[in-house]
Amino acid sequence: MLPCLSLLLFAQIQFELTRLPFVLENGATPEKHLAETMPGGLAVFDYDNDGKLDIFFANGAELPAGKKFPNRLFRNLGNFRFEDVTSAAGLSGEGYSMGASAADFDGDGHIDLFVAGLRANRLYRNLGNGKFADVTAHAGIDSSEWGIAGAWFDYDRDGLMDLLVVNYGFIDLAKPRACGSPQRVYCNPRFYPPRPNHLYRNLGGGKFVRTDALDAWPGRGMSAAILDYDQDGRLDAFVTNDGLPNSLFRNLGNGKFEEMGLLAGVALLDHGKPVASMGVDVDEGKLVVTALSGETYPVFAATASGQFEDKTAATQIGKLSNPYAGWGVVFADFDNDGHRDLFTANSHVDDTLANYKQPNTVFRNLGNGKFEAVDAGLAARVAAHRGAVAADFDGDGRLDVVVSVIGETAELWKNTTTNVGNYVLVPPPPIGATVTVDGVSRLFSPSLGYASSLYAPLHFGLGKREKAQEIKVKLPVPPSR
Amino acid sequence: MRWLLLVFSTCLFAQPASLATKANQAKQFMAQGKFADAAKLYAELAKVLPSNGGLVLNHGLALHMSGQDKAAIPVLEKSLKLNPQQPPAMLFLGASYLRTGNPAKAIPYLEKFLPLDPRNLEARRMAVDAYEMTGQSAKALPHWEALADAEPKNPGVLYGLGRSWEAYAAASFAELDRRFPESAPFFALLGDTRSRANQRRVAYYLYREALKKDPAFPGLHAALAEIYRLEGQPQWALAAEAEAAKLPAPDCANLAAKPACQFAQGNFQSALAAARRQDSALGLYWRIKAANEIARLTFLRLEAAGPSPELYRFQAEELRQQGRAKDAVEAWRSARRLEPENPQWTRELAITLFEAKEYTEADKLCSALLAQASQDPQLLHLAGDIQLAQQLTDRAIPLLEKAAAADPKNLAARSSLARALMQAGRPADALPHATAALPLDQDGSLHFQLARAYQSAGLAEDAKRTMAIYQQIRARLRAQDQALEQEVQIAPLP
Repeated sequence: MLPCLSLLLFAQIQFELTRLPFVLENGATPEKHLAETMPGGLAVFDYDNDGKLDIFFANGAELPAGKKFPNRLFRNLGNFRFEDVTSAAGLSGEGYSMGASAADFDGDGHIDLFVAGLRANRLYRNLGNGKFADVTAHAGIDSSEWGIAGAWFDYDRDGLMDLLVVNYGFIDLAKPRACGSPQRVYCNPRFYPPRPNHLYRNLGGGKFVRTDALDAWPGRGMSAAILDYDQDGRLDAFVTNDGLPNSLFRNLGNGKFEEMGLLAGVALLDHGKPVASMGVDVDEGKLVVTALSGETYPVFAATASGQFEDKTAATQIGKLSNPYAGWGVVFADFDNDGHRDLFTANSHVDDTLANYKQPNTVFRNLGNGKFEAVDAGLAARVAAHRGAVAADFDGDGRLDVVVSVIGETAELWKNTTTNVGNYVLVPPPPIGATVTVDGVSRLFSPSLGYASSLYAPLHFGLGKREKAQEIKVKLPVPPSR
Repeated sequence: MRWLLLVFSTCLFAQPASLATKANQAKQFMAQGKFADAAKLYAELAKVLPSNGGLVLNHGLALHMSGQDKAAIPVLEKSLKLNPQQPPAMLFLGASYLRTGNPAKAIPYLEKFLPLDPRNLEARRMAVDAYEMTGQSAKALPHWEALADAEPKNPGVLYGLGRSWEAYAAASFAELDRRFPESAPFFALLGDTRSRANQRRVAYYLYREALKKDPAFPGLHAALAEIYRLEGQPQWALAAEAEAAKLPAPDCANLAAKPACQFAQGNFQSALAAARRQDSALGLYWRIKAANEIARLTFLRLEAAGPSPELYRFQAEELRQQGRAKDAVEAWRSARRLEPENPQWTRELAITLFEAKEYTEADKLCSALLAQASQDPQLLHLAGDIQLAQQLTDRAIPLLEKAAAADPKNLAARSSLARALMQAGRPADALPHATAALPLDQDGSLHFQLARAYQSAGLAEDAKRTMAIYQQIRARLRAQDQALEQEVQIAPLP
C-alpha cells in the first residue's frame, strides 16, 4: 500500500491538455457506415511491468473491408513522455478494431490484451519481453460478429479469467446497408438486428470455448461492466445496448445466467424508452451510462433490496448531461476528496450535425449524492471524443485522463488540480476482488467506460485523512466443492 | 357588401311615422358603421313588428356586425324561418356560427348560400375554414378549387387546395380500406407509401402481397424492380421488368382502362373524372393516385408563385414528416421572417425547435407565446415538455399541472407530468397521471413508467402486475417484428 500526503484546503479540478501522436482513423466514407461512428476504445495497463502505465489504442480500418489503420501501443517513459512501441510489441492488428480489454488471462504475471473488432476480435498474449503474440486462433475466439468491447472476469470461479465479448447487431460486410437517398445518412441502429454477446470460458492452456450462456438475450451491445449486484459472490455482467433495454446478466453459478435488467431496474430509465446506451462505469452501487444528447446519462443506483432506482434526476446528472452525447465515462477522484467525480468523453454520433464535436465534461461529486459541473479547463476544446480512461500517468497522485479522438491526435489531460487531498493506491487485486478503504468499497474490474479498460492500482482519495485507517481486500468467493 | 346594401334598403312602407323614423335612423347607423346602436333600434322595431322578415334580418345582421354573434344566431334563424330563401341570413348565420366556434353548424348555411352566390369569395373562405376546423378537408375541395380559379397565384389558396387534394386522397383510401380491404390496389398503395418513406423491405412485402392478389396489377413489377436496384440486385430488377413486359398493355379504347390511360398521359383531372365513374377498388385506386398527383402539381404551383409563408409552411411540414426537424426549423424561420406577426408560425417554430432538441430557443419562443395566452393548454403542455426535456423538473411540474388541469383529456400532458413527478421523487403523485396516460401506450413504455412508479411508491404487487403487462406488450411487439422480418426478406420473383 502506498499512502501519500498532501494538504487539502480547496481543490478546483483542473486539467492541462497535452497530446499523444495517435489519430483515431474511423475510415469514414460518404456511404456513412454506422461502424465508423463507433471506434475508439483503449486500454491502460503496465505492459512491461516497469511501474508506469502504458496506453493502447484500438484503431479503425477502411470500410467495408479495406486497409487497416494500425492500433497503437505507447510505452510510458515517465514525465508525460511516451514512446510508440507498436511495431516492436506486434500490436498493429488486423481489421476494424473497436475496443480493448486488458487482463492476465494466463496468470503469468504479464498483462495480456483482447481487442474487439468488426469481425476482427484478437487476443494478444504478453510474452513478457516487450512483445505480444496473436493467439486468437489457438484460443479459439475468432468471431464473425461485430465485436465492440471485451470484459474479463472469472464467472465460473475456477481461477481462470473468462472473456465476455460485447457484440453489436448483425452486419453484412459484403452488402452493408445504405440509408438515405441521394444523401447518405447513418442508418438507424434498428437496421442492425440484435446479436447475442459471447461468453468464452477459459479452459486453461490458452484455450477458450464459447458457451451459449448468453445466447438467449441478443442485443446491440456497446460496453460492459462487471459487478456483483446481488452480493452473492458471483460476478454478474451489465451490458449497455444501443436503442434497446440494457442487459444485466445475473450469474446463477452453474455456468448459466439469467437476464435481470428489467426486474432489477437497469434496463430502462423510468420513462420506459430505451436510449442509445454507450459507455458505462460503476461507483459505489451506481451505474452511470453515457447516451445521446437529450437522453441524459442514465444513473441507476443500487438499493438495499438488490434493485436499482433511476437516480438520473436526483443526482443532477440528468440536467448536467442533457446537452451532451457521451461515449467514454469514468469515475475518478480528481481532487482526492474521497468522492469519485465523473469524466465523460463527448461527441455526437452523426458528423453532419452542428454539435458533432463536443467538449469533455467533469461532473464533480459533491459527496451528498449530487454532482455539479466544473469547467476544469475542458470546455474550450471540442472534438469527436470517444474512449476515455483516467489513470495517474506521471505518478504525482493525481488522476489524469487519456481520450481517443476521431480524426485528431489523442488527448492526454494532465491533472493540475492544486490542493488535492491525500490518497492511497492499492495494487490491482484479482479481478472480482473487492477492495475496501475506510469503508469505501470497490470491486476490481478492468472494464470501464466505452469499450475501454484500466488495469492499474486502485486509487482511493482520502481527503484530509493522512492515511487510510483500514484497507481490506475481499477475494472472489471460491465455489463450494 | 352587396348583401349588406340589399339588406339596408329594406323599408317599412305603411308603418306609423315613429317606426319609419326609427327604421331610418337604424339604417343610418348601419351606414355609419354604428352597428351596436343599429342593433338596439332594430330590436325595438322587431318587438313591434315580429313578423317583419326584413326587420328581423336587419336586427340579426346588426348584431352580427357589432360582434354580438351569440345574440345574432337566434335572430338570424328566426329570419330564415320567416323567409327560408334569404341568402344574407344564410351567409351571416354561417358566419356567426363560425365566429362562435361552431363550424359544423355553419356548414349547412354556407352550403345553401354558395350556390346562390358562387362568386362570393368571402363565403368560400368561410366554408373552407368551417370544413378545415371540423377536420373535413376533403369536403372543402370544391371551395378551394373555386378560390384557386379566382386567385390562381394566391399562396394561401394553393396551399389549402393542395392539402385538400391530399385529404381527398386520404378519404378515398379510407373508403378503399373499408370496402376493399386487402385488395391488390390496397396493398399497392400502401407499398407506394412505404417506398416513398424509404422503407424498402416493407414496401417489397406489400407489393408482393398485391401481386398475389392480382398478378397483372399495373406498376407492381416496376416498383419491385426499383427496390431490387436500390438493394443492389440489378439482375432481379431486370427479371421483374421482363415480367412486366409480358403483361398486356391497357386497352385505352376500353372505358374501364380510361383512368389508367389518362393517368399514364399525365391527364390527372381526366383520370380522376374517369375513376369517379367506376365504383370499384380499381376506381378508388386511380382516384387516389390522381388526387395525389394533382396535389403534387398544386404544390409545384405554390413553389412557382415564389416565396411565401405558405410555401415555407408546406416545406416545413414535409420536412417534419420526414423526421428532419432541424431542416423544418429553418423553413418555419423563413415563414416567420415573411410574416412576423402571425402567431401560428411562432407556435409551429417553437414546436419544431422542441422536436429538434433546440430547447433554449424553443423555451424563449414558447414563453413569449404564453405571455400572450397564459392559459392555452397546448402551450402550457409544450412549455412543460421543454422544461422536462432539459431536466428542469421543478419548472416543468407546475406547467404540466396547469396543462393537465386545463385539458384533462390531454393524456400526453399527463404522461409528461407523471414522468416529471417521478423525476422529482414523487411517485405517489405520479400514479394517477401515469395510469390515466395508459391508453396512449403503444410500445409498453407507459406501462413500464407506471410499474416503476408503483415500485417507487412501495406498491410492489401493483408494480409486478404492471411490469408483467409491459413484458406482454413487448413480447407481442417482438413477435410481430419477427414475423414481419421473416416475411419481408427481399427475394427475386419466382
